[in-house]
Amino acid sequence: MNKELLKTELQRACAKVAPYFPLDHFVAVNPYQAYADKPFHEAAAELKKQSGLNFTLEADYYLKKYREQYIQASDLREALVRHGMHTDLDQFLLTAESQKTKTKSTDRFPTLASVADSLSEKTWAKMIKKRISHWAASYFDTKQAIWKSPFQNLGLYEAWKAEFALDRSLELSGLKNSRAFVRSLPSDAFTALNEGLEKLGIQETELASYFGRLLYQHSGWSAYIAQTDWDNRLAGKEDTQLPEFLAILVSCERALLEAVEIPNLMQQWEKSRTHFAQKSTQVDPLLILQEAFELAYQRQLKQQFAHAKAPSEAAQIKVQAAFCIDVRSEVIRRNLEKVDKSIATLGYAGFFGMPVSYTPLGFESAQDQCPVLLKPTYQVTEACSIEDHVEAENRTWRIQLKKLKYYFKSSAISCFSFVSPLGLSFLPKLVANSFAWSRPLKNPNEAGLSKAWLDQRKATPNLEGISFEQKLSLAKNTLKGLSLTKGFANWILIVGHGANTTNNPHATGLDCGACGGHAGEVNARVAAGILNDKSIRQALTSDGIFIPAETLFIAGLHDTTTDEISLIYDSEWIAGREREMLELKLKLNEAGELARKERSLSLGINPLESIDKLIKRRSKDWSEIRPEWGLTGCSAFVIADRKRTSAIDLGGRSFLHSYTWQDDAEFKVLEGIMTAPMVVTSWINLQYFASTVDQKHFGAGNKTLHNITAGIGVLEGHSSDLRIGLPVQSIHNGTEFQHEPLKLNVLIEAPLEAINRILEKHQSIRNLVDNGWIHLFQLDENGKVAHQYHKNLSWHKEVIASTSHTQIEELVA
Amino acid sequence: MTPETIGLIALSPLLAFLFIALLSAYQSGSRPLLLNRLALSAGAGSILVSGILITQLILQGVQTIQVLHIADYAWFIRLDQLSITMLSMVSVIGFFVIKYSLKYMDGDERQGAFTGRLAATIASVQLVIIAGSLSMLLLGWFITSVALNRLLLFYPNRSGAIIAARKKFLMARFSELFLVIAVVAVYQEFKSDSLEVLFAQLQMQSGPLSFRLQLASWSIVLAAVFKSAQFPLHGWLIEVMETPTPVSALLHAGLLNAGPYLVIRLSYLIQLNPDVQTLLIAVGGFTALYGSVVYMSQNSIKTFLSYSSAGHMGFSLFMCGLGLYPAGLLHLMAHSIYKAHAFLSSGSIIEQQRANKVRPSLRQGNTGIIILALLSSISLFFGFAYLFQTDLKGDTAMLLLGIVIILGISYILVNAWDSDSSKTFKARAFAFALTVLLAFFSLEAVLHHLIEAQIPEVSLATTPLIAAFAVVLVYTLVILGQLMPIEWSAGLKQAVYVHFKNGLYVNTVFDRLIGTWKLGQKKN
Repeated sequence: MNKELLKTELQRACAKVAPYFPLDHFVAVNPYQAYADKPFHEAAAELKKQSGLNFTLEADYYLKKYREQYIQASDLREALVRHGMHTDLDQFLLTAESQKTKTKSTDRFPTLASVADSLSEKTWAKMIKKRISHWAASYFDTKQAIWKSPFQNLGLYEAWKAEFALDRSLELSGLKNSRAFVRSLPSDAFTALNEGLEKLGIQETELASYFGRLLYQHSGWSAYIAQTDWDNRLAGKEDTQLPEFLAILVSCERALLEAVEIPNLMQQWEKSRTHFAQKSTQVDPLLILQEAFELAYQRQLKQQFAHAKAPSEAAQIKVQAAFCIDVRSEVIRRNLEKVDKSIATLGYAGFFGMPVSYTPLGFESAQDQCPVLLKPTYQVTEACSIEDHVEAENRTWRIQLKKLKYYFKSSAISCFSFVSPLGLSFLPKLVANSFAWSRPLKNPNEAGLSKAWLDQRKATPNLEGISFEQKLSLAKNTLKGLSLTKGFANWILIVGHGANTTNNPHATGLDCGACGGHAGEVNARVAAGILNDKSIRQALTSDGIFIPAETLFIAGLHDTTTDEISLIYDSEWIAGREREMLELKLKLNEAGELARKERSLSLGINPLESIDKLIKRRSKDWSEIRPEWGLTGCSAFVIADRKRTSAIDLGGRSFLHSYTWQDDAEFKVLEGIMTAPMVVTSWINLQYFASTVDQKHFGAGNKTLHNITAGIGVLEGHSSDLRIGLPVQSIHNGTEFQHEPLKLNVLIEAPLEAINRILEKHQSIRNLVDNGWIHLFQLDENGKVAHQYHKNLSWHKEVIASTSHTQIEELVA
Repeated sequence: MTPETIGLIALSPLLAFLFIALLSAYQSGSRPLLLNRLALSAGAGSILVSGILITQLILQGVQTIQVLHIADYAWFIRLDQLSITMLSMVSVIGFFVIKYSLKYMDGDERQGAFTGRLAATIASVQLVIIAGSLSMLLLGWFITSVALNRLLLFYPNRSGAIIAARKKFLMARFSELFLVIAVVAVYQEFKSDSLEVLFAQLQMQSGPLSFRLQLASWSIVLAAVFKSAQFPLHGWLIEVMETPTPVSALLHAGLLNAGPYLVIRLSYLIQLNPDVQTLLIAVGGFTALYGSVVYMSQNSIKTFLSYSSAGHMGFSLFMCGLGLYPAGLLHLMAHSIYKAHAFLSSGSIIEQQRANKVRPSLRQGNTGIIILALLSSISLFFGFAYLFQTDLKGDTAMLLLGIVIILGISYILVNAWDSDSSKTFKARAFAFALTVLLAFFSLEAVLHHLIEAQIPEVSLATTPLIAAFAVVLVYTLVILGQLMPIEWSAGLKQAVYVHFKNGLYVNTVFDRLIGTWKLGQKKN
């Protein structure tokens, strides 16, 4: 085989795997990101054929929506037209009803193990998958097991080879000569891969399919390894782990050929591959149903904007509150504005433009509080005063002691002297945790810290790691990004968000993705600290930004599980204004109450019961499996002034970014929004999409079976692959899907030319909109949907008819 | 209260759970409101009943109550210190597991069936505990397996669940077989299977054991060993996380106990046969070592906890073998509470890791300090023994247990004192070690006093004593191996790690024997 070609194919195959971020900062990732250069339905057809991935739910789901008239005949006809199908509607529905989504395993590109399965009475594929998963967990486990793997200092392939040369499991399971076989493998991963492919007789044309199938068969660990490569790349280190992993997988396949006798294996293997090559792909009726479903949603979304009442003339604004663009903010924002007309809200990426690396008090390592697409530029720490240093020391010994106790109860023999004397002391814990009086463990952000210190902690962290010029430019960018350069109110809240759940392995997935899977509190505190700095404000005046002296920026944290907002400030800041502060807090409470009431429906809470109590309890209950819905339902992203959406109930399904194009002279701000938040919201949207339509490959399975492994992720049960994506319970309420699989609809209020120019400049986002991974719309000066993006920078003009569906006219921008 | 009333009270939770299990056939689906409410009430009622029975016990002493009478044959329940202690514990665990499940299983399309099966399982465990007749205990023993099997296969299409259930099925049948043999042998010997009769007769026993009683004692121990996942029969235990978390909690905290409980219940018989004591010491002692070593290397939380359970059951049986029945019971109960909490909170381990980011405490390898810490551990232990007036000279078994405690204390002190951490840390670790010792001696005293009446005075024969010394010696070496700054060669480190991580391949061989990899084929 041509080595250069192999290298290229190898890299291409590995680049297709989207990374998986471990549970301590579980960030949404678009699992299809490497396929953005292909139209959605083509990628779907290809991956379904190659690896059996699903891109739609089963036909029943859509047909039910059709019967309920959520999807209308017009939507279906339009979808058929778009796919160039001129079938009669009834005919199509008949085909769709008979459709089965499940791809039969023989239809996919074969693996040798799958062929071996069909020839012998054993399940080789499963056996190997289990061994690989067990092994990968021990190789990557740096946090969980007490006894760490002694192979971790070796390279991935090298470690695998060394361990499998010792491990007798495969041999004892029937792979007779596996250890001798592993020993005989070349010591270099690439050579092993090349040799393996030759032995297996894989042709150059088959490489892409074969690699793809192998990687998706181990989609969990592949994705985690893609993440270690990603991290290494960012740190400027070698990123060869995924190619090495592929060499391991190919070597395991080869083992079946060489370490065990299975008659006819080679012949059948070739036959299956030929069979695959002859298969053609057809338009999947399910994709048409999916498209019709999206059209139905868009139709209604457009209607909402068309019929939105013009916002009433604003009262004098006393408070401006900036929230994260997160869909959960939409609910609280709407209710906050409802409570008091003099409160205006804004939307911005939840790290508020502060890409910081934050070291919590007493911790050795920092956490990146910014989107994973960025590398944090600034170091922020907590410690400033002498009290802080003392507390840091205290935290150190407190956590060290906890760890010692944990090791004492988890080590050979010593565990016996733990249980007899101290086992019964878990009874009060069992009681207190069961009644949600306390959590099994302290919140990690507060663990080891005294209450006294937490109460008197300074509102602004230590910003010495950021120079004056840097602060100035951060301040400027954030204010411009918020389209907030004039008309400052007296109070400006910068509200980050974080979830508050207990005993939830996927907890960080509910935190702020823009803060790298952490709560956004720190970023808000940094932003408020900088914007309150008098010298910064002074310097901003040279840019024409005049922040009045009365204006006070205050950081806040929106607890998305309970909809409580806490404000973080030093008491001297509000000297003389305590009364105003009190009023503000009352308003926040009131808005929280309304938001909880609104959310209680989807949480299945009986309205006759005490909603506040029940929702707050959810955050503390260790047996709660659906503490909140996270970003479930996310389906739209509006980039416009709040007045375009303030009169619309978007049901907590829309991301909202403040933007006024008239203030954006060169459309630099828009460019920033489209290249960063828009991409991230699409990531989130497609993660929910993928976890909904393809739980097997991109979902984490049943939460009640979760078995946390290696401090990285979960297994489902005893020995599955690493399960990535979202658990079933996060998208399904037990009766029906809580998340509707819809690709993101982005609505921008800006001139078409400006949008086009940005798309033209950035191929990566143009791919997303050209290929239907994102649906793009333009809002006009009245806040109505005026144009829909078609393809190649061309737009269709929308005409909202008086009837309930939209007609479309061609228009070239 | 009349005995009948007390009997009825004692049986009421069991009957309530049974009723719920039957009712679940009619409300087996999603969000079974009535069933859930009843189950929770039965759980709470069960705790209340335990309270009443404790009061009764204090007021009226041990009671054997006839609950069923057919021709010449009568069934009794026995309410004594041992059964009521266990019943209280199981009631507490049962209640919290049910409470947890109500939320945790919310939305599952077969939640009703789940609740029903939990109820059936709890009822069967209660039956085992309060049984005053061996045949009743046997019936309970059998139903626990059946009920648990239904829980293990709650998701019946998971091939992993099927395999684990199949392994457990084999173990359970063996365990039942042995128990049947024991019951028949005892009945033939004494013409009664009432525990009261049995205990009275056994206390008068002198001279060599009859063949029947020898057979019975062997069978009892084997039934316990098969029930409590002792090496090399533990394969199923480490795989049963193929079913929801509350089942694991109930299994590890409520069902696995049955083995040591049986041995403690029939301690009057066991103590008459030094050979079975040796067996208990060998199997229990080895499983304890094996479980506690293997679990250190496990990367998945539930597998980790499962190996630990096998080890703790082993340690409990080991103590029974030594004749330290109160200590064995204490270990059993303490383990139940701890393990129930550990499983139910197993989703929190990531939070622990997130907080674990301070400067690690690093070992210095200072031999002087290590020796000081070891000597301190020993002196502290004997100091406490003196304070609590524990007789160690006359009680070799207690001394052996003491050594295990000393090993644990040295683990704390060596790791703390021989580290680069602050003085505060070292002082706190010392205080923690004192707490452990204080708790150990107080609980030991209390429990000994509590169930003294229900267990025999034991003096160990030579063979079991030698076996026990051997076990404790190995334990000591394992602890020293962990504490001493010894640098192993890389090759040895790797080999030892790989083999132990795979549990010495016991489960792999077992998989092959029962055709695991063939079974999967049929299912998928």
